[in-house]
Amino acid sequence: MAPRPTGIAMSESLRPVSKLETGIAGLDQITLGGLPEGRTTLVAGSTGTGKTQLALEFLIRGMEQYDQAGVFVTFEERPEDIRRNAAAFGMDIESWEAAGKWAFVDASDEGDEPNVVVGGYDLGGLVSRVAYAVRRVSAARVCFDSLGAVFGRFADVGVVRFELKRAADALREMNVTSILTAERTDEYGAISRFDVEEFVADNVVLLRNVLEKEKRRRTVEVLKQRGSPHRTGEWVFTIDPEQGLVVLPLSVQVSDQPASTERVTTGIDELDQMLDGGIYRDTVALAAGPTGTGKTLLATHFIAAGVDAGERCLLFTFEDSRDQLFRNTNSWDLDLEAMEATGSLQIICEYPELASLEDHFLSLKKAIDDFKPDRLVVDNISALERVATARGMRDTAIGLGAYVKQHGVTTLFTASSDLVGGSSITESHLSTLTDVIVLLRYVELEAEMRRSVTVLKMRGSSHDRLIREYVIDDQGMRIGEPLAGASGVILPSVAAGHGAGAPSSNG
Amino acid sequence: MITLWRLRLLTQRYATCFVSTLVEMQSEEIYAFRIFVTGDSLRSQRAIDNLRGLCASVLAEQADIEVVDVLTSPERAESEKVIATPTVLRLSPAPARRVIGDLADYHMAAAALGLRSSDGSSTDGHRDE
Repeated sequence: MAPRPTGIAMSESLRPVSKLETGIAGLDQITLGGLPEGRTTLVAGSTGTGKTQLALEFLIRGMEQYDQAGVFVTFEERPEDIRRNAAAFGMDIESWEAAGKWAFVDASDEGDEPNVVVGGYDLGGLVSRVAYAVRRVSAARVCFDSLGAVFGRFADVGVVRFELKRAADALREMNVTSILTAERTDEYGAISRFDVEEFVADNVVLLRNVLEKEKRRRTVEVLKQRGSPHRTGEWVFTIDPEQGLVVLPLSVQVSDQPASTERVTTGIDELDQMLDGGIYRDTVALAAGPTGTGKTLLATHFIAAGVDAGERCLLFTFEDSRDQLFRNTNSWDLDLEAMEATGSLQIICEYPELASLEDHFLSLKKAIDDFKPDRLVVDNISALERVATARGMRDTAIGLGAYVKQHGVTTLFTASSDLVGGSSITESHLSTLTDVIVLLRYVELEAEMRRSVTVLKMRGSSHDRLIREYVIDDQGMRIGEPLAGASGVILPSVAAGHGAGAPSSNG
Repeated sequence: MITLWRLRLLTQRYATCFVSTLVEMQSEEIYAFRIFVTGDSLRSQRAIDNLRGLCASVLAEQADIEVVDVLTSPERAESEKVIATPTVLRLSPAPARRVIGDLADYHMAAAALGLRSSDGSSTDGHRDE
């Protein structure tokens, strides 16, 4: 659970409002159960934030997961275009229309002349058409997309506002839950351009698409839900080609399963001894070190031990191609290719730059869901820094950590750190989340570069506090005696009196 | 012989053309409107009255006016994509026209609906086809 958006807003109203689960991944978690049932929720955002997508999915998920019929009132796109968009996600709206479970109210502009207006008018046609469509398919959900298009067509803003309120009231009478999308001009300004808050102010969801350090971040924020609690703050979401709109992190609740007391091997005997007999089965471990210290090797030992014990192992690498990985590991006499052939190991190689951080998170999650591993390695999670902001990185690390914990997967992350020690962004974000931290470092000793390993932290267990030397040869990683005379490896030595900061060891 | 037959054919053709022209001219003069209203409200009544009054004062012949209540016939509002009420459609003569509102302004309404008075002049000098 992210430390930032933990606040739960309670409203002044004492009457509880029942909620309707949207079925949109993650949205029901941050709304604490869905959208207020029988009410209208305003979904506001600037251009390209995914308002129509959210509205569409609200109906699609209702159809798919809850067998609730829906009505899509479109002022902007034509129904054909919406059907086509949905088909891209594998949704066949036409078949639902044929089955009498989906209706469009096509209020899109014909594209010909502007409205010729002489005298007073109301939007009685629209209101009765919506009511008719709702009755016809027995709809539980309605969405209006979008407000800007209505206001663009009818000059009398007062009339439009009054009529939308009338429509919202009518839907409330019929206990229909609805979404109304509206344009914003500023990401952090007024809720919408049309002062419609007065009648849908009770429930407001904001979507944003912010450029932050050259990276786009889509976020969703539940601004208010009168009469019911919800989570606060901005949450990252992505639009996945397969799953549609997904709000991250998917899992905000920490597993309530009792902590495991069963120890499993890391694949390196000496390291197991340093860890007082191995790591706990539900551990999330971090191996951090500069390049060339053997992080991938450590990860490969970890995987090999899992395969030996008959566990299902998933290796996710952002570092190497499949061929490079096989070549490197073969030189240590660890044959990943043969392990994969047995079916108990799955290797997934991804290039960080090919997708956004959120999409990487989703594909990782999907791989975990599909393969159901006992062990997971992500090598090297720092590579994601290339496509992420610091904040996005933290959210992802926390989300991923929570997810693997919930599924009881023994997990090892590797992370890069500076050549001379100190902590990277990833490391510092991961350090509080992980149960075990193993540091690999270079040590300059008697005019020679040597390597050292130390267990910085291990939750719920005692561990070796010595800094030990290790060597890498054709048998892999072998850990030996404590390094005598080495200091300033982890923390700057008193004598040296300088140096980079190190990750804190208190978890 | 052949010439005579040909002449007969030509005459027939011309006759057909002439008749169809007459029909066109006549249909141009028959005005047909459909007015969508919401229930029996004051505004609905006012709009219907205004349309009838306009037609009576401007057109020589009685116009064909159909009133559709969107509350009882929402499917017709759906098929005509009517959003606002009152909405007046001029069905004939072509081209079709669509005007929103209760037609409170006589001259503007006549211009918007393309109505010309019985003497052939436009009601207020607005553009007319």
